[in-house]
Amino acid sequence: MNSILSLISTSIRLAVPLGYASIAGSISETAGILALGLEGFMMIGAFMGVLGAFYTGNVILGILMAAGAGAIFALIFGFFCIQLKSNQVVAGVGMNIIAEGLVSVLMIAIFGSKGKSELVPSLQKLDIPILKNIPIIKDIFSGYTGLAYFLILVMIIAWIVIYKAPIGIRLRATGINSEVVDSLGLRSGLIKYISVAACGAIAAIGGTFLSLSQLNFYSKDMVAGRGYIALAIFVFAKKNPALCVLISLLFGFTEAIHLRMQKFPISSQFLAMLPYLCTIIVLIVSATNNKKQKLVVK
Amino acid sequence: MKNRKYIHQMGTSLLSIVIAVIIGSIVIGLCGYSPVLAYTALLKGAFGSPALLMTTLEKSIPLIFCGIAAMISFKCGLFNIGIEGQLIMGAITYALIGLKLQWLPMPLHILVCSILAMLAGALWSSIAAILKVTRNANEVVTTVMLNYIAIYFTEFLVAGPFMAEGMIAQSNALDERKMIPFIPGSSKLTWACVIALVFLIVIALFYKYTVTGYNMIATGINFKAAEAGGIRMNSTCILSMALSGAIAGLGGAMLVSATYGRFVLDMSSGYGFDGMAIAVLGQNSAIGVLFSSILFGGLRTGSLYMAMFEGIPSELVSILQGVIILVISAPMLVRYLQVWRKKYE
Repeated sequence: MNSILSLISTSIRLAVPLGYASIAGSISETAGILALGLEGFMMIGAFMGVLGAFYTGNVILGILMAAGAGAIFALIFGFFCIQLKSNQVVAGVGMNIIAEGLVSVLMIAIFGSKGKSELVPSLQKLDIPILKNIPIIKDIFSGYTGLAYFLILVMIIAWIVIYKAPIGIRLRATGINSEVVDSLGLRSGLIKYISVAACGAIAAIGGTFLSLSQLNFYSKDMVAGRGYIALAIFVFAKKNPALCVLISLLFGFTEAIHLRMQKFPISSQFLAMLPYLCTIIVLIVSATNNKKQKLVVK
Repeated sequence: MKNRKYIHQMGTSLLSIVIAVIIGSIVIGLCGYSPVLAYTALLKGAFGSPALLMTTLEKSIPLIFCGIAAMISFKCGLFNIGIEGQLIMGAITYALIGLKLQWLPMPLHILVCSILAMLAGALWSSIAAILKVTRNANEVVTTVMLNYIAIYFTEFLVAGPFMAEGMIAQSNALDERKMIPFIPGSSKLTWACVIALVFLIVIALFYKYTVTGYNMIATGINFKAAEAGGIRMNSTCILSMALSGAIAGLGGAMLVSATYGRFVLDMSSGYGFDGMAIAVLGQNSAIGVLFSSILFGGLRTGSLYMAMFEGIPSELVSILQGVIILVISAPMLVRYLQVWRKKYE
């Protein structure tokens, strides 16, 4: 029983960064920009969060700095995609390579090692007042850091903004046909920039969850393809933030199996493959579900 | 007219290198190093002496294969980001089957194992192509996922059933007499570089003179028009991707048979991603791939020299590569600069 509970809570914990990243991806995808740079945004976020916490000694400031850095980095990506009409796939891969190089160089310049940064203060775990007294519920719903609960808020806000708010209609219209939006006197470029910046900030916060909540340092290869997995998640979720979080839970579970089930008679390498295999399977299934909906690769 | 197009393409590539150098020097400066010292060390380390030049050329061999692989997929409008994984699968196939076939004479051993490595790479990339064609699964995501799966799969093999004695995750070493020999008069360069050049020429001729090659290019430029023109989209896509994977697998095979002599985990230090950058910088032309590969090989050797003698992190080079990719991806940037120059004049 205890091992099942710990499996569930580990799944939830591992799902959080994917949740942030896939919501971030949905937002920019809705505006018609395929955020292939998600991996890079998360990497920048994870590192800048640690850097901010290292210099200020305050985790919240670190996270804010990460979000800001992620937004700026994403805006550069946006500038290339929107203003310079870059191929989104090539530009996204370029941004990921830049992010990796930049973080490695800064790691060596600031912490003197490219593998692992110095330890910084990390987020405290929160106990939810009433839930913490109920036996099983407490293990599943209580005891995460604030960022995990913040994800629910982000999910709700993103859902309302995309589907219920007036700006959401403009956002979706921009994704469908930006020229029509322009012809109505609305600035589709501005809408795209805002959505890309939001994407970068949210993905970066997802990155800080890896470095400031799960751990209290930055380590190389920390993001490990989560940005790409998030791409598959929001395709499967049809860009719906609520579904993004649900599907992230599934992926969190596949990662949790690797971490918690070391006693399985299967080699750990095969368990480590699970999230990546699962991504491919999800892509196969989602493509048959919505044949008409294609990723906007131009 | 045609010459002008080439000059324009070359100009774009050179411009992107210049912009990358400028941005790179800003980053170097911000980190508290001297950009001039860094770039001198980089150039000196890459092309400074005959021995260093040989190292650069030797390092550019796998890069040429990866560059060709990326070029093939780009030409067909596909984004094969899984070159890394295909290279690894080729390398492990070469190493493990090569160990079993040691009784073959040397040239035959290399030929048989290389063909098998190409098959392995082709099969690995075909997975993504088939999923793309039948299920419309985005090949960017599937190839990245296949990279991770390949890494874990080979880790399982060389850390488990096929692990050599010792603590390092690697396979047993091939007999040295079965490896690709050095070119006479050189202590670093093997015949692998000749093989790379031959493949470069063959691929260039393939695209220039065969119908299949033409179909692939037509598909990449405008797939709707190509389909209307009677080109079979699905088989062209799968064939392109398989060819791309095969060349990547061959790159892995050369890495084993010319450089390492065995399969070592982490032996491919980002060759796949470099291959993409090379194809982008070379503007998808064979001659462009050759020059960019030598440049990137030079960056690899030069960056080690720079790190050793100036203490400047070698990862700086990946920022340069990223910026090069980013700038070339932006066709409008060059046009804006042209307009701006005219205004200025």
